[in-house]
Amino acid sequence: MSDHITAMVFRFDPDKDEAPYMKEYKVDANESMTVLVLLDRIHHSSDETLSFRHYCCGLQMCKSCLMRINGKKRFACLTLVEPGEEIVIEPITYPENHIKDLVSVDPADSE
Amino acid sequence: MSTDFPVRQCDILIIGGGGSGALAAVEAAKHETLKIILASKGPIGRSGLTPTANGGTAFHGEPEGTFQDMVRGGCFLNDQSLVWHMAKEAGNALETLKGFGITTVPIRAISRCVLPDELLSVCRKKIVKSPNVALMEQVLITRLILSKGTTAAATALDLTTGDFFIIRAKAIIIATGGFAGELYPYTSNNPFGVTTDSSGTGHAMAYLAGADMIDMEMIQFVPLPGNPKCLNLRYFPEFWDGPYQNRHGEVVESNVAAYQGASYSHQFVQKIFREIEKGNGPITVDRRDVPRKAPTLKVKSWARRRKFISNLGLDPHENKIEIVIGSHFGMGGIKVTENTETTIPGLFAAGEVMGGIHGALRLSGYSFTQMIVFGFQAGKQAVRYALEKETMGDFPSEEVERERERVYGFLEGKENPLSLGELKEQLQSVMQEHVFVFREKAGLEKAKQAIMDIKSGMARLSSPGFKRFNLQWARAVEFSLMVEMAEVITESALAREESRGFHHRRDFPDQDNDNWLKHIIARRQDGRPILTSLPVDCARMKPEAGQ
Repeated sequence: MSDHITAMVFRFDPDKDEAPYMKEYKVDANESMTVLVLLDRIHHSSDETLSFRHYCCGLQMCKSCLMRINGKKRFACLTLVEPGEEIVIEPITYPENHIKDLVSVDPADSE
Repeated sequence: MSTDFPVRQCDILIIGGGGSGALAAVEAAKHETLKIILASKGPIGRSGLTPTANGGTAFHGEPEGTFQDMVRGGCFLNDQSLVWHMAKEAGNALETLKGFGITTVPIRAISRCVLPDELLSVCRKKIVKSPNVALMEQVLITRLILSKGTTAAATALDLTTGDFFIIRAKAIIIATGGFAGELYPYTSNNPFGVTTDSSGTGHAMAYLAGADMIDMEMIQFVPLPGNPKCLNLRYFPEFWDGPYQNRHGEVVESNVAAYQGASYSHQFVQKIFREIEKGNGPITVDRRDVPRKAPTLKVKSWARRRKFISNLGLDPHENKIEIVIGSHFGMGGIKVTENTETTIPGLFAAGEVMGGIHGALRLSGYSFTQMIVFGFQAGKQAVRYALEKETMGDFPSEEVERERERVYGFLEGKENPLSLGELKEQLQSVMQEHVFVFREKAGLEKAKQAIMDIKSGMARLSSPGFKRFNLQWARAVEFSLMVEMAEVITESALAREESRGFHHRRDFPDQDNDNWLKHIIARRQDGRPILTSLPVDCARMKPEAGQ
């Protein structure tokens, strides 16, 4: 069994980057974790410059963590990822309403 | 006066987007002549701890029951005027919520359920619709600015753009929630394994502005699942009623419900902690043989949560769950009157950030009652103050400039830089080792020194150098405030030379009603906390001999 998760993460800071790019992170993992915890680990141990909405209400209510995960609109707080998996994480909207990396204008605001 | 800073102006600034802040805004918005700004570091309903709560709201129907339960539970350290006000007003506040169309469901004889997500979304809609309220989400307030000892302004950082600005206000309401979350490695305040940033910035800003803090040594600790997914989920109090076993399979505690406060009791938590100290950990909770109570109430969000917890394998009715002890709630906080006034004119505080109402132990369900009663109250009282105050205070621009330099300073490269992660880990391990369930003079003195060292290490703290949605930068600013609270907590714990509720001193193991029926008050002077004591006013209820 593999002992890590590979994440391809959308990166773009309109203040300094010319164009968006995908960055690969390998995260040590012995068991499944939520995508939100995965991003938190990347942010904590390998890349402090990553921006994402880390909030979680645990009820699928707040929609703060909606992202495009493997191309599909998903809740990062409830999506589990297994060791050995490779996942692609992108913001819910780009280029419109995009702020930085995985952060867009809060999706619930436009409802 | 300098005009170098973008300046926003309002009559009332409300800081914090949880339940207390949102309710204060709804109340204040009724006065259409007043301009109100609600600033929250996260979006309303999508930040803070309110949305993660179950919504249990204590209400006995008559004030005496609420009052007596709280004062007994709080080991007589409660500010009785605050308790009485809350007990008296709980029914009215619940009626007002009902009038908003918010569901309040009776759970037990002494409790209602107020659904937090509904409460917040209703409030947010009301706020957005009010032409006199400006909603600033994703804005971190960094410092309060006084003018001649009176509230005048606050400095703010727009987290989306990284822009620094100033908000002038006649009155400011602090509704920023708790301080106990980020200070300890394990905490119920981060239920889903990611931080909710419960960092006590409001406490620290009031303290730095010179407000009195009350009983900051009082922090509630509770058992949490200690699983490798780092999910410190603590939903459904009955899960935590035990039985608890040590690693030899011996039952440590089988009847948690018998303690006052059940699994929120200090006596219970101290017993578990002693067992861990004896080397008999890990402790597990196992309810596989306990019949599951059929839910008496069908709350949709609760059912969803139960399913989620079960899917994660964290339901003690289905699995043996290893536990850790972590932080839960701060009973101490900014000292306020029943009108939510702090000791600084024009500065109000509501919700968990206000101290003294729970004394030495908070009972389950009573913080939501506190949130709704004092949320409304702060809105009302700030309106009264703002209407009476004719002019806006001047603000000393040098102080604002200094704050801007301090905040932007975290983005600069440093020699021998320290990362936020390193400093935070240091602080959390100091708090865990010396300012946790059991305390004693020597350890608290060590903690004091270590916290001073961390404070001086702050000069080397460097965050990545970009301005847009920079999480580490916001957290660095928060951390600089958190450290101040760590110092106040430690000094307060040193000052209280007795054991009461969640403050247990090994060197003073007994509750001492003869000498210590007193609040510990901390106030900043020359950059340090100065501690004094204030007798508890027991006019409504005195401890009986032997209590």
